[in-house]
Amino acid sequence: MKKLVFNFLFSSLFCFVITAQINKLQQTIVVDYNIVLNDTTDVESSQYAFKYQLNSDGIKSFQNLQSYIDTTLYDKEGFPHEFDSTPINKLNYFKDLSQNKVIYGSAYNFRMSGKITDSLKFDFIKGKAIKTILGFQCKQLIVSFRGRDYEVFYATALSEYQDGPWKFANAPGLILEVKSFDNSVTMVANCIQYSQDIDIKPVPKNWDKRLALSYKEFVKKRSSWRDNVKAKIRAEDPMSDISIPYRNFEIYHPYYVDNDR
Amino acid sequence: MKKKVLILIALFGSMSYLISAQSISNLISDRHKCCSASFETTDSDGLPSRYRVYQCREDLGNSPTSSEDAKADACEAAKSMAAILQAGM
Repeated sequence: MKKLVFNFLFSSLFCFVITAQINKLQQTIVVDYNIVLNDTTDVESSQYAFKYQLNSDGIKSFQNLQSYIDTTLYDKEGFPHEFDSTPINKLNYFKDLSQNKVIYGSAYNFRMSGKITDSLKFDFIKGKAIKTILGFQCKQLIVSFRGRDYEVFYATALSEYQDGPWKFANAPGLILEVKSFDNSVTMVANCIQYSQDIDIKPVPKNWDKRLALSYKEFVKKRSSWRDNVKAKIRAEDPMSDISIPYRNFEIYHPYYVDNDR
Repeated sequence: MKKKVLILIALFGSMSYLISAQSISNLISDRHKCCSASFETTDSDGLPSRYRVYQCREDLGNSPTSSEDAKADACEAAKSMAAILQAGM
């Protein structure tokens, strides 16, 4: 009889653990981020203002560029760059957290986008600040990444989702806010939901037609294209030039590539 | 010897970068004779890129409007080059 009760209790406990694990695996966290890049240190800086939605199960994730944000950003010369909130819905930043890698798309010349693979390596340093974002207590981290220094806040209670906006990941919990110390970059979560029904989408099949590049190869290819376009414009007329942004979230400059910051 | 060559290459690389990084600033330092025109592209991932073509013209005349004429020429040339580049994409 005792054996029967023991078996029943053990089976129940086993089922409960398995069910909990399945639920945990199925639970996808959906986070909306407002992301702004407004670097005014150089005329050759990219400017973005958009809404990305992260869908993450804690192992794999993807992000959806939902739309731009209705706003106008001004570059170093004071020229306006207007953004409107027409829906876009383009998937990007496909992360595999178990393998520490992200596959994403970005243009390496005027027209062509590559299929770029990068690692998710961030050398976070613990900070002292604590703040509440969307009801979650968040701890501060400091990180230097490819030319910019950032303050990052992650939710300690969301340790199952070591994910975040753009390439950011691998903090001890879900990253809800990223700000560069030069105020050029801000990535702020404004909504968190859970869903059982969202499948984590893989890299689109049609991306197989794109040129596959590592991050280093991408920067090399883009820099070489940029140099060529500038050389051609100047050769045509020495009193001319063209601005082709080399400052994105990452700064595409050989120094930063060589030092792998 | 190999080290010296590497140092020279690194120095040359840094100088070329500084020259290329400063050229736009140098070019537009005299706003009276320079002008720019921009064009935008959106890549397959929905990300916009803004490019700006800068053109300057020498102020050759002695007339009171020669500087304005040079600027008008520069603006025309910048617009034209931006249009050509955009059309070529």
